[in-house]
Amino acid sequence: MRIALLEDDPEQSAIVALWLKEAGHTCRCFARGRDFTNELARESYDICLVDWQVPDLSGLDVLRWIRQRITDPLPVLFVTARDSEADIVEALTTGADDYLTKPLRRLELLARIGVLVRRHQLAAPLTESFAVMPFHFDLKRRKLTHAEQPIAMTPKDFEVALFLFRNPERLLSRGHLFEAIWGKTVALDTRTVDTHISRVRRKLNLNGSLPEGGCGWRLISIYQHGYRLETAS
Amino acid sequence: MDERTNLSKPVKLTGEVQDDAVQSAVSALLPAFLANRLGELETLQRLAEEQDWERLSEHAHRLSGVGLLYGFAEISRFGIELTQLTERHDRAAALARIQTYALWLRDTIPRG
Repeated sequence: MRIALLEDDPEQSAIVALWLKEAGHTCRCFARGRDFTNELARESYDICLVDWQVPDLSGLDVLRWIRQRITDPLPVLFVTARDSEADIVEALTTGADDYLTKPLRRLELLARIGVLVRRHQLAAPLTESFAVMPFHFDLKRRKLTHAEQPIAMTPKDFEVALFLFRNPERLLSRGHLFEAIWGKTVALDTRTVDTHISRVRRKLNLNGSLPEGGCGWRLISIYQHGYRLETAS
Repeated sequence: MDERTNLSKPVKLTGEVQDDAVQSAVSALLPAFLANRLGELETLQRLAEEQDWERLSEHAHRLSGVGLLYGFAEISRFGIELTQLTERHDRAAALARIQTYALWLRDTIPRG
């Protein structure tokens, strides 16, 4: 999962980021509310961890901003030292999906994240094969077929197509695609993503045409943000 | 009893069984974490002497949370107790508690 963390205490964010990384997630840390909302305006994430008391904008202000501005499902886990019933109710009624009080415990945090991911069905689970009509992904052989006809693809194009079809109807930023497919540490221009997206769109005919002319899916570009795969209807 | 409140019990890092990789990675952060604790002792003492209860309470509250996160129940215990002392505006007791914490910290760091 790609996770955005809002926590102004560097010692706490370092530990949480470490836990998340060791659990296989990628995590970006932000110390100020305004920086966090600026990031969410241009990048997509699977889940947000938000502390209540941070500079610029409070966690609650950030939460309100997310619910007003982000149209895609974005689970928010509130993480704070405030533990009164009134505080918890306020965060949940403002739009938090769950609430954890500090000090955090690693396994509980990871379990809560897992629950939110399952609840929101953020990505289709990976099994040996994965079918989204009219496509069939064979994950073992890394082969993609359309109406039982194989589509010739490079390994990276296959990964791009698979990630898109596991996350349909979601706005995915270039950075998100890049991290998920190439890994965060690879030093490549995110425009690399555009090249692969263009090829996948062409090879899979993701232009939104009706079944007789296309596949019933369209891959649209969102200006200055990324891409969304959606059904043609 | 909840690990977060059972502060007398020795805990592993973060109060739970850790994977080796996590344990190792957290260990790498410990020298800087303990150095920060040592570095803030003077501030804690000054705030107590000046009876700046609001700022001292903020420091104490933060320590109560961050201590267990790094595996140090004693730091969390100190943070909780100092928070209580700031609520009572007890200057003498706060200074005494900071002193015992400082002794523990200085004893802990070479072994950390």
